[in-house]
Amino acid sequence: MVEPAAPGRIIQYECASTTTWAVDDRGVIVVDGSTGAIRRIPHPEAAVWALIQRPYAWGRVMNILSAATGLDGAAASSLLQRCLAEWTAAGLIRMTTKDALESIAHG
Amino acid sequence: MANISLTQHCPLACDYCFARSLPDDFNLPDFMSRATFDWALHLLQRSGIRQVRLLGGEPTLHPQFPSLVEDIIKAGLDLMLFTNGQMSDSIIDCLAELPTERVSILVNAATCLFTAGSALDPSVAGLFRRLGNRIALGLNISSPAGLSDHILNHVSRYGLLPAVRLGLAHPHAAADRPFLHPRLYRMVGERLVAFLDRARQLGIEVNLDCGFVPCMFPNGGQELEPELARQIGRRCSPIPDILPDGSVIACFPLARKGRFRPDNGDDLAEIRNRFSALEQSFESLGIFPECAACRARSNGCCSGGCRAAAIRRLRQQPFTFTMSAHDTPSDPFVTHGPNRRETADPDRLAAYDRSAPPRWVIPYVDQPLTFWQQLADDFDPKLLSVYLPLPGTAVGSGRPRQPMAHLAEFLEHRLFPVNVLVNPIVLPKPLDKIWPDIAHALREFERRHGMVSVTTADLLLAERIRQEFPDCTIAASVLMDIATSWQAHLLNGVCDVLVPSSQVMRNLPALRELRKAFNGRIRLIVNEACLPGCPYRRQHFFEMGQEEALPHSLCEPLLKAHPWLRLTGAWVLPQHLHFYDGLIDEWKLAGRVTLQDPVRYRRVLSAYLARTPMQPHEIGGGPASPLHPLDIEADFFQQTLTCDRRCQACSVCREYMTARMKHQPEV
Repeated sequence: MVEPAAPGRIIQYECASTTTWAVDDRGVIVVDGSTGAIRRIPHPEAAVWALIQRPYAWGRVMNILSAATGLDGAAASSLLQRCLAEWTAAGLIRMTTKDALESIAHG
Repeated sequence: MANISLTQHCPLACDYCFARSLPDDFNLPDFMSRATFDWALHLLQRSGIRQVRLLGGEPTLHPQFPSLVEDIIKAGLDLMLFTNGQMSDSIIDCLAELPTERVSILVNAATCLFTAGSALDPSVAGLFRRLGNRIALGLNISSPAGLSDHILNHVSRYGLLPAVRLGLAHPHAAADRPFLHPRLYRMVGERLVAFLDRARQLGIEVNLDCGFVPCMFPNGGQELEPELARQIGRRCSPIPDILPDGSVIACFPLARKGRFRPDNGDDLAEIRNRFSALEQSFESLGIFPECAACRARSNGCCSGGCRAAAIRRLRQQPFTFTMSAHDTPSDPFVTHGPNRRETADPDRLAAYDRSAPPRWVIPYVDQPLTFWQQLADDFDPKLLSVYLPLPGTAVGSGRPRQPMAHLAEFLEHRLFPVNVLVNPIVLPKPLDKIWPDIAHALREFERRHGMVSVTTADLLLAERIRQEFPDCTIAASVLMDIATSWQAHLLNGVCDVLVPSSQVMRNLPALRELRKAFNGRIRLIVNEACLPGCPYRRQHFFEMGQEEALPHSLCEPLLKAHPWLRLTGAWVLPQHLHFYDGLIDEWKLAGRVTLQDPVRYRRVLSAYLARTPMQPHEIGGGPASPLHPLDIEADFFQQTLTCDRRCQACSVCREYMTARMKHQPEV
């Protein structure tokens, strides 16, 4: 599970520059360009992938995810955090923490 | 099997040619050296290959071509030559001296030398006359229209071998080059059925190269002859190509994905094994999103099409997702159970409850096919259609004449459904007098391109189109100036889509009324940017429709005297689209004139699709959007969406403009 950010800090998840993906009827296929490894992300996790690559705030992602999956807020949040943890461990995305004010100052 | 590519050069330079798409950084020599050729021949021999396949470019351009083919025959191997058919008499003499049973020639009939309705190129005709009995035709299909059965006539006329080999112009997995987009496969499949019928009548056997899939044929190809049916949906099993420098690729479309120089001891089986590993890693990827759940694929009848076309679907789009300390399940905005949904903003939730998000109607700008293919690749599910003036009529479309150099190519490839505009601000003559001209142009367009939808600014014209083309989707143009529910009622039963007047683009209560009154879909322009209810607009659009160049905006003096009016223009920034969620069924990007620069077009479209922030001067809007960098804050914008439009008695926009411009000097 991903821990919430400490007060005054933000957590950013970035897609690795070598990662490519395609959406299909069974979910999302993600290719790690650095290793050539291919990973299939089924639904409902695919919805998480599709949402976090959009420029949406966390609250908006949660609302759409909740509406799309039929999960309540807590379950949707749990799904999101589990996905982020798994994909970080797999190297598909990278996690960094930053000072919130610094982040604003630098856009 | 393996192919030996003697050179990448070919004087014809067909735009879809695989060989032309090899990356520059491959640094290939102009021609394969003699030593490399000998090595390649030896590789084939020790691999037990009996046939050498020479291709290019145009292989007969190799300066030592006669002696190379002589060596092949001396080594006891057969020769298959892939050529454009344009070769010198001395090369024809050379080929004629080789034993007939050991040599076959495949002439690519997809080149400019085989244009329908024109005489066959004399050089190719000369080749056919002398060596026709060992020549078969090949046709590489780069567009649906390219599959023409006129080439079949050459078979009997010149006594060619009664066999034609069809291939699809596949994409290069890592380069932009025209190719047959999988979206066009069904159209090709329909034409192919007719082509096969004609070939059968003439006793000509048709063979299919790689990449044909069952779903491109009517009924999934079940009505094809068994031998042909066996050739579709095959596993991607590339025949390695030995390039002029001695390196090997799995096939031209996958050149970027795997290229290496074999060790001296390698044979073709080892080389194929290396490429098979590459192929297997992408096995789960098909050319369509639907491939993942396709029964033909799961029961082994189809492997998902060309691997390069499938790989091309992969997006590379870095993103950043941010969470702060507040972004936890205790966030009050988030619903926590079935009874908490009403606590969230109902408008925003309504937007998410719609079955499909609104898609975009975008302008035609005169760019090469690669531009549109890239848009299709990158944004396809979000794009609904491309609009352009109806060709073949002088009625007009509310804008100056546009460049159309690439239009034929664009229409031929049908990457997007097309919406044709017949919407001058006022018809140039009484409707009865110009209707025959418009109807003829519409019928012609429908016959050639399959009309999808029409946008018109005249309700009587819309009624005529509805009667004559009952299946056509009709949109009421923004120039029809529909701003009230009463006007919207008048459109019901005639129009399927309503583009609201610029008077109400920034008026949410008015849009809600339109939505209630109109039975069809609401399509909102996001970046047109006229002043709401501008008294100069009608004349300005009339002048625009008359001129070759864009005339001056008639509202310019007004805007100069009152710059703050630009804040009231009919523009919506990408970051503010969410205010319209639930109200709008389709979005429309304006920009036939202002977004002709392809880089700017992509930037603006991308921003709107992703809702990433822009400033008003960046969106390609008209004169009534701010011309200088200016941040538009969400609170301010929201306020303008519900204000009472009594600008003469209000100072909100004036003060906002004054305050912001102090800090943002003109550029």
